[in-house]
Amino acid sequence: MKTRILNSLFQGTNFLFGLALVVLIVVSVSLVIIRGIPQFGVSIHSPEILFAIKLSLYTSLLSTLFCTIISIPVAYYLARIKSNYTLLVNTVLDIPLALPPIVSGVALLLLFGTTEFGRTLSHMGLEFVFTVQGIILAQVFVNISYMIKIIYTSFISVSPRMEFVARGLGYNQLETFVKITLPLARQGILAAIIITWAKALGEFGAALMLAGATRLKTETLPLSLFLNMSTGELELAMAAATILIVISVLSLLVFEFLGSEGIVLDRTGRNGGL
Amino acid sequence: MLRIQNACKTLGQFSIRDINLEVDQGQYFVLLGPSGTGKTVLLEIIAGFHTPDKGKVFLNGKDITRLSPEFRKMGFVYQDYMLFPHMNVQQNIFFGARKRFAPEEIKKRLGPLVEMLQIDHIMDRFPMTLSGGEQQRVALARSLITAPEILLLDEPLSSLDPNTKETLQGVLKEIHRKYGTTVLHITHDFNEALNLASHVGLMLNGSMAQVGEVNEIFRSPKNIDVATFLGIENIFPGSCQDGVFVCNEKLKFPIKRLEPEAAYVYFLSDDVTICNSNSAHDFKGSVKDISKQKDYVTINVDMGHVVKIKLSHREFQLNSLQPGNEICFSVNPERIGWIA
Repeated sequence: MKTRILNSLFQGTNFLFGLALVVLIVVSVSLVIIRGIPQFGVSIHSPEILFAIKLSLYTSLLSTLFCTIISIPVAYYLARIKSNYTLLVNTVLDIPLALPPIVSGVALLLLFGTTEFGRTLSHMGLEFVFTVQGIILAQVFVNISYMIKIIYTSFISVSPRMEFVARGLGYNQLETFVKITLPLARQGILAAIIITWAKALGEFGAALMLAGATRLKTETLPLSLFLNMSTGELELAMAAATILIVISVLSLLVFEFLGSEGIVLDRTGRNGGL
Repeated sequence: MLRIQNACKTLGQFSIRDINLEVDQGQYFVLLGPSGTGKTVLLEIIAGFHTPDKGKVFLNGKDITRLSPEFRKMGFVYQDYMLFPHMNVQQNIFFGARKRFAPEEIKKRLGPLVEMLQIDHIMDRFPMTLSGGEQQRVALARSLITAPEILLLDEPLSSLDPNTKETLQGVLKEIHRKYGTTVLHITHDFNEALNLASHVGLMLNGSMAQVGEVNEIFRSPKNIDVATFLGIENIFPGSCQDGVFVCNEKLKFPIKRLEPEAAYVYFLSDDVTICNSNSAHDFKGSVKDISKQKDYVTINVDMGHVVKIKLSHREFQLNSLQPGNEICFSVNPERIGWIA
């Protein structure tokens, strides 16, 4: 009898903690949306929010593109070559993941703002400090390690022996990569692109340090939220927050869907999936 | 045709040492050895997936040690098939063929191959929907259609159920007969080796322990490790005394061509017969225990060493043996061998 009560108590506690957390998340996020919705139609047409949306889309899409172009070869290299050197590379690549984004921003600011390297780039027309390029660079720097990790996992799940077979059938390394490895890892890569894009849209700390927070110049959605909250323009702030919430939740759903789709397709056999 | 010279390679926990091997055109060569002995590493070196740390690989006299796998024209079939899951059966088979032949030539080659492997009804299916046996047939077709110089088979039957295994052994024999392809097949199963091989190489602990014709290896193992791995049930240590090999007071074997360096005597449990007569060459001992299998019964007789005797179920019933019974048996003298 006593055991039964203890078991029920244990299960009940677990359930209540879960429920409390779900309520906290749903209520707090809903409050933002509820505050944002009434003025949403007006706010979204304000030049400032429109600018922030456009700039956010522009910077996040470009930074995701750069991340993808760099991550695929690096992740593949790390997935296939096993040496002390790759172990070192792996550890270094983890650093941006561990750093608070604002610290990453300071590091980038020092590199591009105070060194000869930064000045040389600046003379060549590549100015990163307090510019839109700076936002893109900050987003790439903060997100790339995360993207490499996800893509690395999907490359690891493709057996090297599958590639050996393709090589034996007459395909060189690049052809094998394009025809076998990439298609088999594509769901992981797609998921990585979606989540990286969502993270880039929300990137704040590093971009704030490197690109600054100048209205209608380097004002992305999260910066717009920050600026409007500081000046008390709540409607605009909530509109920016609402857009960010919608995009985040949607991308989370797509990410989950891509993850589960691989398994479903595996079972029906239409596709090997991840 | 294929020659491996002093190949050494360490890869993770697997390593092979000083492997020398020659496989002639048209041979069905089985590389036999326990799991984890580096057989797959050797096969992957031959295919060009790894470069040996030391040593060379020659194909038709040409040094191919550093040649990329895509230029070697070798077919590779893995134990777990490694079909491309995002392609259907036909796309899998055409994948390699497209690189080597024009479309008309592929069509011409496909017909007889599909018929022989009996896969015409699954050409539109995806690998995940196929049974193990079907997947292995497709993997064989994908390789064979490219007309490989050598077919490298890495434990191709190991993950199949016994019936499918037997059927596919028939298929492999037919492939070898029809296409005359040189085959290098690795396995840990002696029955596969006995059934398929013309020649056998035995790998133990990363080295080539013995190479030869299939019957020769099973009849005259080179050393105690080989004999033990081959599953020869009766191996006893002893020494030579006046042309007789003496293991103990009860076990003495007169052997022709016995050399003084003999250290072990061996014979198969099939070569022992139970007898009623009591001639000078018979052995007498008591039954220690009896173990029954599906096809035969093994009688363990205590002779100081345990001598194993294999009987059919019928023979076993006729003799109505029980543990503790005294029995008389003889060993076919032609089949007793010795190892230094």
